[in-house]
Amino acid sequence: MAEVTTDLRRSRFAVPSWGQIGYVIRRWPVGPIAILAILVIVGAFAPVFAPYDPLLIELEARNTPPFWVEAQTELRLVSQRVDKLAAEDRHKISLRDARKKGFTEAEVGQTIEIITQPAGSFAHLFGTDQTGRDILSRWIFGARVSLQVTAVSLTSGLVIGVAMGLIAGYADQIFPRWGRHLDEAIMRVVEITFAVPTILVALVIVIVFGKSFIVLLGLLAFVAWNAFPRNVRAEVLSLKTSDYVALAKISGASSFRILFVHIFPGVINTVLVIATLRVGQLILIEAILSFLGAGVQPPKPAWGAMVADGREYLGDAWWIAFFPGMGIFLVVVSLNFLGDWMRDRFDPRLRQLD
Amino acid sequence: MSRFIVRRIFYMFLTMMIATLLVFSLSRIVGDPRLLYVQEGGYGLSPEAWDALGVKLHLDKPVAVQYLYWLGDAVTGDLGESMLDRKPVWEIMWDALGATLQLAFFGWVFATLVGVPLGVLSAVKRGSVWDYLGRSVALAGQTLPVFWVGIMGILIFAVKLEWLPVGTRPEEFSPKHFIMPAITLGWFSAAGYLRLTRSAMLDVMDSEYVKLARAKGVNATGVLWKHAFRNAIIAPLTFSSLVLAGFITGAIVTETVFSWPGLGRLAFASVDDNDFPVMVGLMLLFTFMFLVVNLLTDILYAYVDPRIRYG
Amino acid sequence: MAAADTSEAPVLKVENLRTYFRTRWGEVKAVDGVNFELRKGETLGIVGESGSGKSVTMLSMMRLIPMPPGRIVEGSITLDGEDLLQLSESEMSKVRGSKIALIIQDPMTSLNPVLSIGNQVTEAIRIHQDIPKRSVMEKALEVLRKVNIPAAESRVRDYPHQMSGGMRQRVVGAIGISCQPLVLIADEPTTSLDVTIQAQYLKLLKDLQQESDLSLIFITHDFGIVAKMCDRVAVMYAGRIVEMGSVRDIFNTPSHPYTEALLASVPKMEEDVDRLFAIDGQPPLLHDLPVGCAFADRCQYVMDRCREEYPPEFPVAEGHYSACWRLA
Repeated sequence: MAEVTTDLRRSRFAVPSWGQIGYVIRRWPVGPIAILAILVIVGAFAPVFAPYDPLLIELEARNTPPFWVEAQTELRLVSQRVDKLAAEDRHKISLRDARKKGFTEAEVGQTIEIITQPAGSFAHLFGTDQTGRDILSRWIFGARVSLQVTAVSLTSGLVIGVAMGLIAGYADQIFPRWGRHLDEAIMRVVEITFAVPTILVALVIVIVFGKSFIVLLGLLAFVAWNAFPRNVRAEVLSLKTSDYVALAKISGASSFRILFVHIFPGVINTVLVIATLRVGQLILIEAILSFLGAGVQPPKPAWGAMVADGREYLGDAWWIAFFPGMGIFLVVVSLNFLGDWMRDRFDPRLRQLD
Repeated sequence: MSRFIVRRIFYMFLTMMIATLLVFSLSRIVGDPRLLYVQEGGYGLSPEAWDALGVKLHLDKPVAVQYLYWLGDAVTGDLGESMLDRKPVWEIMWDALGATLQLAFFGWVFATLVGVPLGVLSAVKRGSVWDYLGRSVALAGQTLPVFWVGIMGILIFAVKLEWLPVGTRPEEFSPKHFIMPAITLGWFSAAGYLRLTRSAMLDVMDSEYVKLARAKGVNATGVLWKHAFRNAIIAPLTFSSLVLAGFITGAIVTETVFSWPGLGRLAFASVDDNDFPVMVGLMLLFTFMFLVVNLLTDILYAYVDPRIRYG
Repeated sequence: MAAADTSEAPVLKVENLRTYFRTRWGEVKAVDGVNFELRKGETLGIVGESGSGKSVTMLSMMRLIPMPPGRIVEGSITLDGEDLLQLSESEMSKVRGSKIALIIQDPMTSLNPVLSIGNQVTEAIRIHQDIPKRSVMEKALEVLRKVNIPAAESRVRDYPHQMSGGMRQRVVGAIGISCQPLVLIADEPTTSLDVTIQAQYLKLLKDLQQESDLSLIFITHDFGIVAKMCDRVAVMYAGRIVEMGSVRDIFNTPSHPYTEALLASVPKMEEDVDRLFAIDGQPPLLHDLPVGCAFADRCQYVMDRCREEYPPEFPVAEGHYSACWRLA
């Protein structure tokens, strides 16, 4: 037998060794949790963190690049098919000057555009957009909006979805005669909703019911709920036959009591995993809807909408579209990793979920 | 086999009917359907035009009859006119259909040619560099927002590097213009194909019949393709219907980003312009396309897996 | 029992075979020094519990061990004069199925569900034998008839799921003998079959063996099958052969405590007992084998020496040996 000694000299307040830290990092998804925690805190306390009012227009500072970019001047020939360019910068310039500035293909009669891009500064870390609004602040408030929307729709979707799953799985106990049919009916409905092309239906709903916030929440709640009933029901079906449930039934507990006091706690793990995996999708869909103009309405900042705005200024001010997209990507990737980790830890049976 | 096909076609029609019913009821939910045909606030129609519209929509008759009139019109190709330019909806859709079909085709080609082989590679060389590459590609495809990929693609490849054109389908066929839109549209699905193929291959490679095939003396290539792959391909095949369905959604975003003159951009424009007739036409068309694709995938599935055929 | 031909060299000779697996708990010594011979027309049975190494031995003989975690560390497997472990992979794949063939246990999963029966039976023939296409199908039909598949001509177009379990197992058998191998390995071939089908199947194998002087290796945990089918038996425990001898010797005079215990656990019809005998304890963890005899902790005759040193093989009778210090 190996000797086990307790080294009492190591006090309980010892500093963790590198090995121990490495162990924690490998076992827990430290990266994703950190990223998400930061985003949630920053978003929730947006007014505290944002350096400017996201709606503040400052035309003199428009199209400022992020802080690391240096100032540049560029001469460009205006193409025949003009998309929205800043008209104020168009100059007339002599042919010789144009050639001197390096624009060798210039000819008389053409319109040359002189674009001066100011240098970035720490005043605007992420730069400014086409009306001079600070991107960082809009980004932070955009995070907040995504947070609000996602939280509300996820919660409502979750509540409905889980309730449906619980009832469907336990229906034959609650309603002895037609419970099974109720179960089947619920599952059929869920199946049908899986076939629906989300964005398309969303657009239709928006046309019919208008572009309001409530409509958006409703749509997202719909997307959120249909992930839950199937798996929750499966859990219920397997928990239904366990001994403590039988015991509760014998003791005379009502079906509802059994469902919510005994079965529901066993379902929580699965629900958590599904929720985490779903949030990423919700954020993507909200971003797409905002991008298409059917989601969060301007001037409220939303990441998807910011990307849409930035689309027109791609050549001049790429950062308008870059940062919000990056934000979406970071959130979704972190949620993916977190969701995978949770699934492996809490309920590996869900592995076929993708 | 033919009985199978006939049954599926029947179900397809049934579902189509239900879809038309749903679409129709959507237009009647909001109260007076004529409100949908005007701009917000009710502008755009004189009192006479308002009444004329009421007659056209047969609003004096019971709802069921309205539905039948509407359905009859739809089947014969009369889906009304766009509110924007008074062109027949069917014509507008027809013009845009070709562009979308081409884009969808190339997007699907990309998704399959990248997703499936990488999935096989990932599984066969499990744990190696190829596996990580494959899984990274899959992860990126599923987490990068579609529109952002397109926009960043335009930024990097069209604006900064000027390797590829900015977008929009030109009049004559030019493959360069298809590259970015196809990749943008297809990447998400490539990821799905990759993961599915990978896990299916891993499952199959561990199976008893693969072991027996090896024991028979079949060489590594034969085992891989004739035995493993033919079984592993079943799951991704059924996935194809989901992929193409996903393209319906994806096309809306991709076409908007690249100003591609297809059905997706049309859908987006119709939302922006509140053009209800076009929206309705698109919904019916999309549903129909979705159902047809499902039918074809089911048939293909039955052909590949004899258990379905004779089971 | 067919009389084994003892005057010729053995068809198969396994010497000092060691197959190890690298796992996260350490190196698992699944097969740790296995030696045996097989003669023409002879049937050898390999018995043992799960984890004893019998399946790994079989896979090693066919060189079907998955190479990343596993590797054949040492040893030689001489089949018909050549050492299989020295062959390249492509040479080995020519040997598999033609000189040495395998029947695996689960008929439900051992046939490819998307290929027809005909396709799978002709496959080995097509690969190993250089005969014209028409003859390939004829050979396949011939071999299917040999395993008593009725109406073989129409069955050939069927798919596995359209056949019963017993028939599928017979098809697997047909695939095994399709190229007239020298050695046929049967890995628990009757585990998933009904008892009545089992008997038929075993008789079939016996008949096939007598017809072509086939050498059989039976891997099983079922002593009933051993008694019926085998000429010689090797008992394996924790990766090594602990006793080997003729069936008669093993059943009448088991000389290793493990063999004794195994035989005692088989319930006999004539006995009237209250409790079934089961061996105390658990097999050792293969990545953490003890220094001495692996069976020491469960052995009723254990001595100090058993824990210190692994016992060598002691002869008990002609062709019968046992690795136990009691025989020293």
